[in-house]
Amino acid sequence: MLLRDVIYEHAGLSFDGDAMFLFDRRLGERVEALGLRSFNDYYKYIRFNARGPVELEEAIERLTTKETYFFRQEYQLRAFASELLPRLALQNADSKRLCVWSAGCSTGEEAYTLAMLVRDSGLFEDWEVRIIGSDICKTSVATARRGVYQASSFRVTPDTMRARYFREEVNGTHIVDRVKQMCHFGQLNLLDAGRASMVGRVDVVFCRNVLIYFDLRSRRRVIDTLLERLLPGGYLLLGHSESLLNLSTAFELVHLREDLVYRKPLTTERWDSGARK
Amino acid sequence: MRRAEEIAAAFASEDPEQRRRAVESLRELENEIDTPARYVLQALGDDDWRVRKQAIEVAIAFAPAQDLLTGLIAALNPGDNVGLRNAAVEALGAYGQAAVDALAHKLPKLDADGRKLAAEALSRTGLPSALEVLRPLLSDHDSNVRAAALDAIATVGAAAAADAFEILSGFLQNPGEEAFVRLCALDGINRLGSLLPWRAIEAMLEDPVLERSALSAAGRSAHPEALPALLGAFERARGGGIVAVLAALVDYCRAFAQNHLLLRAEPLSRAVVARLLALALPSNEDVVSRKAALTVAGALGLEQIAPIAAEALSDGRMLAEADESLSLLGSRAVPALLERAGRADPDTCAACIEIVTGLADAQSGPLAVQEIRRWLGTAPPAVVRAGLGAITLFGDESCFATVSAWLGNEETASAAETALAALAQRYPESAQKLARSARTEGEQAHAAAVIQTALPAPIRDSLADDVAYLSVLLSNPAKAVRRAALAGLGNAGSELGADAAAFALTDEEPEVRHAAVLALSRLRTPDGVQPGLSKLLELVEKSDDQELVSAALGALGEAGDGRVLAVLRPLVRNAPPMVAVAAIEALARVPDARRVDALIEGLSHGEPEVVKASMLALGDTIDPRVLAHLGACLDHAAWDVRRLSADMLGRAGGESAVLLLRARLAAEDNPRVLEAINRALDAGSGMRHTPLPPRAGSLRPR
Repeated sequence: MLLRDVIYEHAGLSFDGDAMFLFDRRLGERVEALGLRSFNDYYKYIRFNARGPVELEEAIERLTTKETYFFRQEYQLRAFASELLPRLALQNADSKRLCVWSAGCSTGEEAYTLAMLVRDSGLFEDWEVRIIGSDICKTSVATARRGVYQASSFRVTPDTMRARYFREEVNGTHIVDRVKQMCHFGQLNLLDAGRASMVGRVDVVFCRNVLIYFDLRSRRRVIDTLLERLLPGGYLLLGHSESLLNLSTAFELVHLREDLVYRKPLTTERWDSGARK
Repeated sequence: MRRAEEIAAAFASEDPEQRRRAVESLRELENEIDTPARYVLQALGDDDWRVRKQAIEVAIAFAPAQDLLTGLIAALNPGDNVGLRNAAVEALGAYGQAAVDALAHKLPKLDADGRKLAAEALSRTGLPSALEVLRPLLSDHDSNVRAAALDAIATVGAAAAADAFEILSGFLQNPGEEAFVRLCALDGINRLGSLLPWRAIEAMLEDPVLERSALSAAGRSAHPEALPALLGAFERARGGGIVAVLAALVDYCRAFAQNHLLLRAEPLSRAVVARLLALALPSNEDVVSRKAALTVAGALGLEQIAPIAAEALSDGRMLAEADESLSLLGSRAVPALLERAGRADPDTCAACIEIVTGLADAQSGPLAVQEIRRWLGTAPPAVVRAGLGAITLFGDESCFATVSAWLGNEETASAAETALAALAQRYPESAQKLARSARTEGEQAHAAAVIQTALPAPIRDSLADDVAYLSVLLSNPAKAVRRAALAGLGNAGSELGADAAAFALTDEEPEVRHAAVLALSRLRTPDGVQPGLSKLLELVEKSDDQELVSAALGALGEAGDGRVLAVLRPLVRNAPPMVAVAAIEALARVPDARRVDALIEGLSHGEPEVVKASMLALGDTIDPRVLAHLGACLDHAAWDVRRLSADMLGRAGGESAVLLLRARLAAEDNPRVLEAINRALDAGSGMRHTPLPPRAGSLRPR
């Protein structure tokens, strides 16, 4: 119980009920590896040992799921490419800047997918385009930055995209430089509003299958942070089983042909400064 | 009662070990037996030295027990038990001021031996207050007593150097005094580290009793005429005298380490040269004289010492002096060092290269680099780092590729970056060409980023091109490249890099985040606005990452922008220690008089380290309130705060500081703080301490 609280306090990750099984299974291996007798000993190790902070990171890495692949949830990506990108191309025509944030990007497949879609749209030539990927897990961020993937990341990637934006090498499939250069990765705890502010203002946030790890209170804090980072008129896309029900009324619901997305109102007084920072 | 009987029986035992254990047990039985002092005093006079030694320890542990003190003083009365008297002297030293007072009272009643022992006991207290008790003994009719008093004055004088020197030098100049008593005065002056006028030393060199100590004084005199005298003595010396003169010569050479010309003005006799070289060789088994010979030969410019010293670098006992000798020889040692490096183990090879780098001049440096580059291909990291150090100073444009090749190795990357930046500054055109043609991956990218840190932007067609290239490098998988790219963005200084640098604050690697902080503090718009400062202020206000916040505070301080005052001030009093110290250091650099108020608030922080940081920062400010606040710190609960306060008040000087220090002196009981207060009061009285300069040497820890 104490250990569960430490994880919650540090990362906002909530493990109750059924999720406790995941907790026991993934951290049990660490208890064993460190030669400890119980979760209580593991708790003390994290709290009081000099290597405690490093072990806490390790625990969080193990508790966060890294199951992801390119072009996941295709219908949502189609909505992004065919409806949101044209709207944003019009909306930002003066500034010629576009920024998309993959919040909880894991090993980077989502962020690179978004970069490929932006590039493929042909709407943003000569624009300053930044795709930002962030994750709480340090090794995931490093993997994302390397941009080298194995077969499991390609279960639904269209052949045309694979031919266009990847190159095969001995150690795996590499993202091509022109896509890689659009993407920037950082380690970020979404509950740390201070660090999140370093993302700058963005036009779109993809935050898919991330909120499920948080309890209600933490979800609200995360949504507040995402709202703060979005430019007026910017979009928030959640996972197919997630919604803002009981979380926030600050967003407008936008019905696209293939998906429902959230939008930060253009005219809310709180956000009317509108300027990018 | 039973324990008392057991103790009495043990003390009566014929077995010294039983008696020793009985003495040892007195510490635990202090409250169980009636007369522990009687037993301690009995044990101090025991026939067996082990029992006496144990008794001294117990007597010291019982300090300042009055009944024991009385017994110890009584032990100085005339008597046959020399062991008891000597043991009493040793124990009395631990009784501090109580012993000084008791001895002052007892002295007139003691015989000559007792007075001599009393002087020694006073010396062991180490208290400057003993000086006044010792002073009457200087006119004692017994010369042994006078000698003992002088010796004691030199010891307690460490805490009151001006008074002690005045007494000792006055005694030295009394021609009617016995020679061995004058010798005690001279030795005392040498121990104090005080300097005598050369003419006084010169006269004493003629006296066979004083000569050896006078040579030691000559060694520290730093007077030009002392060198021929010392060399003459070295040539004439026999047996143990050789080591003594060499020690004096080492002192002399180190005093002149900055001034080789003066040392080399005198041609050396063949006998001196031959003797020095012989003493420096490994065949001399006396380590002390061998070390000294290495130092002196180097300082005197004997080129023949170079190969001997280079060889001695692989002897752990000789390493420091060999390094010193080579450093004193300067560039003339380079060929011998290169020859040694070429056939040495990796550690010695690296050490030789490092010394070469420090000693080579414009002529020998480039030649050395040519030689060193041939070794780098297969060399271990320690040698490569040393070689890159040489290239940093003496490499030419043909070295760009050699250096870039080592950027990818974590163990050599830092040295390679330094070398590359230095090369870029010396050969900007070649560097610019290299950077412009670089890709965004691999060594080339790393090299381009480093070059960008060394040359003024733009390196490409425009600042925007530079920023775009470096921003791409922030996605490089190698953290060293990302860190260098941020340094490059900072050096370019364009506000165009602000978003990229700000996002790098989320990098998973701490060193990259720190580089981002630095970069943000250096970005400016063409009209001088610093867009990164607002990001850093936001970070300080919102982030929980203490290390990063501390780095941001450091950068804000460096920026010197007065607007940061409002953010820093609340952190000084309440933030966690690491952040509070960083805020204080940042405040110290803010050019706004209001910072003094904020720094004073730091004195109220609960953590002594924060209080000390505030004190140090306040010490550099000119504000009349500061002295009073530093004085208040003399009453702080933490002894290290009180000691720093004493040190700073001593440095500040003046009547107010002296008054504050004197007021605390009476109440202070921590010996380390007391020492600092006395030192500060000495400094306040105008006594000048001139420590010897550090020895020459170029070896750095690897």
